[in-house]
Amino acid sequence: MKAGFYPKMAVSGMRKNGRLYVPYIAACILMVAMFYIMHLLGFSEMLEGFTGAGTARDILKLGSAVIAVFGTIFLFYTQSTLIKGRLKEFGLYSVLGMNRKNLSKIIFFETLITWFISITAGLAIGIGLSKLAELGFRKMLALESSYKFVVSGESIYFTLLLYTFIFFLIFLNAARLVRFSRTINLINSDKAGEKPPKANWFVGILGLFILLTGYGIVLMIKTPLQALAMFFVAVILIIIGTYLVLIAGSVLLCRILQKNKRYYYKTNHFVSVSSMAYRMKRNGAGLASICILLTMVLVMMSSTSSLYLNREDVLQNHYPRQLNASASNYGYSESYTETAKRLEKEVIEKAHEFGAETTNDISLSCCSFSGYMENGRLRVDIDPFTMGTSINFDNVATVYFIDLEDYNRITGKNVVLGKDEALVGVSGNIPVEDSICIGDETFKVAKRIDARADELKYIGLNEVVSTITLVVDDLGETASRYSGLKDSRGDTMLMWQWNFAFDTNLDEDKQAELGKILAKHIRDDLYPKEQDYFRVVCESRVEQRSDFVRTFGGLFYLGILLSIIFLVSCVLIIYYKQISEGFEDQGRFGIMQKVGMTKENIKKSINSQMLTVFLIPIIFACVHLAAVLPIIHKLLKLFGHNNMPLLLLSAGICVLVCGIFYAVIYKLTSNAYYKIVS
Amino acid sequence: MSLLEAKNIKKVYKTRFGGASVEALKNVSFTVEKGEYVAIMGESGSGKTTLLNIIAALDRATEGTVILDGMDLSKVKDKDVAKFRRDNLGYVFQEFNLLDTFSLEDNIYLPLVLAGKKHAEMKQRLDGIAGTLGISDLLKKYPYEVSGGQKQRAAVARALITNPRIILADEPTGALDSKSSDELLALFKKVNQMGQTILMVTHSTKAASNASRVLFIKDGMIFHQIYKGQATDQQMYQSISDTLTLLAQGGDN
Repeated sequence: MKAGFYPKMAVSGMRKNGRLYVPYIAACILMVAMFYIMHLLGFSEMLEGFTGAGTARDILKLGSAVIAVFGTIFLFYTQSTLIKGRLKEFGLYSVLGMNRKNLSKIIFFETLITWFISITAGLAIGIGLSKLAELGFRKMLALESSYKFVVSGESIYFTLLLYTFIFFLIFLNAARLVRFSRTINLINSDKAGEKPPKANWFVGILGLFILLTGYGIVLMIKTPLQALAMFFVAVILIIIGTYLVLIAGSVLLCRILQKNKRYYYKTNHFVSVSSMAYRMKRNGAGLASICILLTMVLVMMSSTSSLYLNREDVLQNHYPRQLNASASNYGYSESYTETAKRLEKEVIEKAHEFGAETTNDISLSCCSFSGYMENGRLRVDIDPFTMGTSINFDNVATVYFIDLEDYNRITGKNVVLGKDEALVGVSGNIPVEDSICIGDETFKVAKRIDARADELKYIGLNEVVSTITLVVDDLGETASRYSGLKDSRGDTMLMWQWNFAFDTNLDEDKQAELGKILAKHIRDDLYPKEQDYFRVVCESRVEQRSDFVRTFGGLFYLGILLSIIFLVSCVLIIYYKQISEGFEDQGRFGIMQKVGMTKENIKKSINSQMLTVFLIPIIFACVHLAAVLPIIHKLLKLFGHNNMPLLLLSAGICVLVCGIFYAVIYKLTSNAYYKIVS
Repeated sequence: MSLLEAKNIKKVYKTRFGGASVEALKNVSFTVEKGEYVAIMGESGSGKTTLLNIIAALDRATEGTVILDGMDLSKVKDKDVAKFRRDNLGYVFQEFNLLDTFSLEDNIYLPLVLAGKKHAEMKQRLDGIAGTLGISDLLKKYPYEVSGGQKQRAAVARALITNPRIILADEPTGALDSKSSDELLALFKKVNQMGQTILMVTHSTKAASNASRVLFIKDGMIFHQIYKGQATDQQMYQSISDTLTLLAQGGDN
């Protein structure tokens, strides 16, 4: 055979199927470009030399791994639908005398061409856009822009390696598809005796059950720790449920509608209901994939954007004043309080020495330990974290004791408490009646207070477990009752903590400088070496801010990049679905016209069908998002984020943006569909 | 007045770039009386399917008129064509053209549903013809579950259920084995005897020998016609094949 025959066949085959190949190659190019950018940002020296660089880069490294895995699966899937659409053509070749080996050669050259275009264009675009991506990243993380243009050989090498491997797998898969089909099947592959789907009650109901179980788990979760443990279970159940419901459940629904004669035998419903039933069976999986991708985009974008936008809030909660010092130790002794007083004095003096005026200071000490709520009593004789699977995270609670003197000073009140009396504030799942039992001691509830009000909120900041705040008359005396408690490892459970924070009249640079000076002073001169485990730190809010921005900005950035990838994949799945449906409907369209359906009727029925099929994934995705928002809210608490309105707002915006994008895609792809049908 | 009247029908196909044009029908005129069973015969490419498509308003003639029961087809507006077809014509195709998304029953109902009929009425009408066609037990099945002959009977039911003025059949036995063909032809005869007008296009001598009149078409023109009269199917068969032989030998002379 003439040299260059196979490449020529490959080129002409791809050109003839341009409608299928152009979007596929475009997706390949995008995947390559994205991977290169991600790899470059994550692994090269480009993002070096700022605090928090490690965290940000780790996030991006994770992102490149996600793209690699997802890209492989997705390109694999796309290519096999593509090859399946061409089996007839290959069947014809084989009737004309090509054997399987010849066909494999054509496929090889096709893959080679795709590989070449994707890699060259992908890398070119990736290199071209990398600067933009870097600038975007720096902007988001509030870093200084750099004007250096970096091309990383290592990233190019890895991209090349990975995608060559992926394309090799793709080739093997395509060759397998062609090799294991018989000539006659190849020719008839289009019309292989299609059965209309039977309603599968079992699978449909099972799907619904699994989906609802997933939702149920989400709704039952009360605390972030539980959320962490159960999140993936819920996610997997919801994904499986979605697939089953969309594949089997929708057929079931159509069958039920068909049973209703008065509904079914209407001009508008007749054609659409039956072809929906037909279509859902084959496209249920595609719709479910679109739905899952959309859900992922929505969840990712709403959580990361809300984290990013809320960073200042979290920062303020962690660092209530410009400068924040704290000390902690196990157990409790009078000497701790004295040390705290000494530290406070020294820190203030040093600040004044620096030329700062100190204002607005908070000084607060407390004692805390955790226990397990059972029958209205906080048990301290069992260690929640050794309970294994029998643990109910709902019942884990931390108790904070505060001295009445501190409380009165902070709130400006003048409360008097008797012995064994306490002011009680709780958060989470804690029932409070006339008295409250902590370990072996019982406190009479003198009054309920809001533990989240005033400066009290800076205590027990963790939103992870339920908290109990008790204001007692004599902290020292109360603490001494619990200082003997040991956990299962024999460590003292009671923790003493002192927080001291104040504002200054300094500008941000000076604040940071003062923070460093104080930290050094504490470390070198004030550290009470005579006491074991004594931990003292001093941090300025300014310095911590950049760390927050870097972490949350990195996550947000990753969220955006991954969303782009997922959305593009969505577009491709929708596009191929429309095209294949178009070819499928071509014949049906003709028959119905011959039997007496007007063009207008046909257009109307197709329109309503497509709209329904198009709306299903996004409606499901929104329902999923609404169902998992509570769990996301709880997970965000682990990052110190507790701002439900903001989360709802960003979720709403994400839904809106996604919806508009999706509508545009629908419009564009349905045009492709009409072109085929008419 | 005749039920169907075709006058001087001409159809010219142009190639896409307006170059060569092909005359599929040159000048065809004929009439069909109410209650008649007419077969149109001719070889592949003789223009018989084009003719049928024009009569069915699936295609428009370049020149000439088709008048069905006093209505001029060329006067029917484009957007009303489908409705016209639904109300007046029943079409039986060679490839059955059943929709695989519907059960046989729903396939048969399709034109009625499109016409907006009530389910009770549809059921009543179907009950009336299902017995005659021998498909009562098959109604709940899907096209992929039944044989070609059964599919074609369902397609006939779909054509009959609207009580059309005329049934148009395009090679109805073309995709059937000989046993199913015989059954279908017997069915057509029965339906015709019940008063249904049928116009059938075929190149099967056997199918044509069932009709009461056979038109021969060649190179886009009506060439000859035979009336069955009192002849048996056997005799009709003989005279049709004689005519065909004559046609094949260049009977223009």
